[in-house]
Amino acid sequence: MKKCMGCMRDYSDTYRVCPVCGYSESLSKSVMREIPDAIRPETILGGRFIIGKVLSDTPFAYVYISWDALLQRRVIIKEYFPERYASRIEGESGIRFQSPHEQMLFEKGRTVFEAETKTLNANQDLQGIVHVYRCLNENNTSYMVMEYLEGMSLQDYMDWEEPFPIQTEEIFRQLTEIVEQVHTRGFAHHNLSPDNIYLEENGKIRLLDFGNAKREVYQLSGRPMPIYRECFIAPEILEQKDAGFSADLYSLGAICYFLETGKEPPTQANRRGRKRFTTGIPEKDRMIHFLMEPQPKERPENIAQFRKVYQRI
Amino acid sequence: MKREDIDVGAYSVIGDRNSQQDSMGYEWKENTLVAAVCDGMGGMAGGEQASHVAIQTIFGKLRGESLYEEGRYPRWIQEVFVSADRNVYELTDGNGNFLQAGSTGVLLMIKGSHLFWGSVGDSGIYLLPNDGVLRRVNRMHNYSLRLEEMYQKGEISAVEKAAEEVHGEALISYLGIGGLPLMDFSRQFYAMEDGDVLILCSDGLYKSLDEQQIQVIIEESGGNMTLAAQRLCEEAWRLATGKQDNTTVIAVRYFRR
Repeated sequence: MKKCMGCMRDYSDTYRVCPVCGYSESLSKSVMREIPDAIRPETILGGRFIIGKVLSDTPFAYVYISWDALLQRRVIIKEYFPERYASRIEGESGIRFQSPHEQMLFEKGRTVFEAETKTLNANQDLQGIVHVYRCLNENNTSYMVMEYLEGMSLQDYMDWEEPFPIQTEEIFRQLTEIVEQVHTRGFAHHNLSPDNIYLEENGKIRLLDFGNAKREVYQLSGRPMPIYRECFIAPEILEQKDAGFSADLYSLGAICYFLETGKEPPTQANRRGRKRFTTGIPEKDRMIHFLMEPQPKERPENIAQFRKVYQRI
Repeated sequence: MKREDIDVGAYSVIGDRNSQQDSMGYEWKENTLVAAVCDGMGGMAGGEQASHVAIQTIFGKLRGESLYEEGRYPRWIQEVFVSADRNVYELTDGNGNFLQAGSTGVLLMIKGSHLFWGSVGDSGIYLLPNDGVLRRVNRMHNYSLRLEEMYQKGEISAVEKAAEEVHGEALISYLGIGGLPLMDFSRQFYAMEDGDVLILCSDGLYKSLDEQQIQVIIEESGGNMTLAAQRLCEEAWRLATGKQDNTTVIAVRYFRR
């Protein structure tokens, strides 16, 4: 038997390709050529975690599926790797820096990444967020070891099924509740989008990919932050200004629109001079526009205030 | 549950058994946390009753009288085990026949940073010092312990010892035996440090998880003892190689304000 580096299941030596997920060593090699800075599959981290394939590759971090050999379970490992400052020599796991200045920026961002890991680790009793088990320091960088979730992102789910056999009200209710709990603990998500909302088989939703560390790293560098789903992110975050809890409320409004229509709301830039976008339900529209006010001061300050206006939520 | 400078969490799973024969409890009195886990044994309802009566005895005594000063805690632990032993021993069925059931008992008392503990049987007490390595605090009162002692004294050979180990898990002291042959307890306090974690557990935990696994599960629960207790029980069940026994965990974390 050998372990598949794509899905971490064991399969017979008679196959060259994993019969469960279709992953193979040759596939792995071609993928790795495209992301040469990622750690090779089968690398062992912390004497315990076997690194598998790269699940996501962003300018800020690599995310790997991994096997926790001590507790015999799949985990997700996120590697702090801001590609602007860091690089690898092929075949090596250690990180190299282009200059001492870049290394200094790298280390500053790393401190923020570790602080975010610590915050999430200390709040694992919140059922609605992904459980972060520990922070690992190796290869001159840091790793966030977290729970492997079975399920699908809201985005994938909406892409999959048509029309939506989904309880939009229920999803939105859960989301509001989770965001409120997170805010009560004193931190915000700041990166809410349908890609970072996970639907589990039991009907519960979970938030992942908190955006604070990423945001601060780009703020330190003075460079624009790459954003993939601009339409879900509050303008103050896009403009790299200070953002508070109300930035998450902006995203909630955008997600509500997405749930109702299956479409992305227009970005802030595209909204200017155009007629207001609509779900076709006036009451919903009022709520969405209230949440998506461009100025943070015009939005509800927090979930409690939002509830006062929309008591059913 | 958080109070003063101590966080406590408790959890139980029935495992692959038909009944839950573990009992547990924790309470505060006179600024002292008292926590106990009892693992019952005996056919039919005997095990359930035995561990239940043992717990009732411990917390009945706690509620009924003052603990007085800390210097008396070791004595208190001895007395409560002796009472529990008698109460379980005297259990009868509807026809007045002795139930012949028994229970283990592990108990801790924490006042400020001072820890006292007691143990009868094979349930576990573990200490995970902050940034340290998990270690077992108490001995297992089973036949293996006796074999080891006899071997150390030269009364039996290594071969004889190995041959007898098949019966190694049989308890040689438990609550309900009628006159405790063995009882372990701390004669002096242990001074806990900030972040130290203590675990009380039934054998379902350490028969499925090794000490390294227990340690990382505690460490990775983010300092939340309710979560630690729950994960220890659930992971023991998930990683069990055979049928999982009843498993109970009380996790206690001390932190300096």
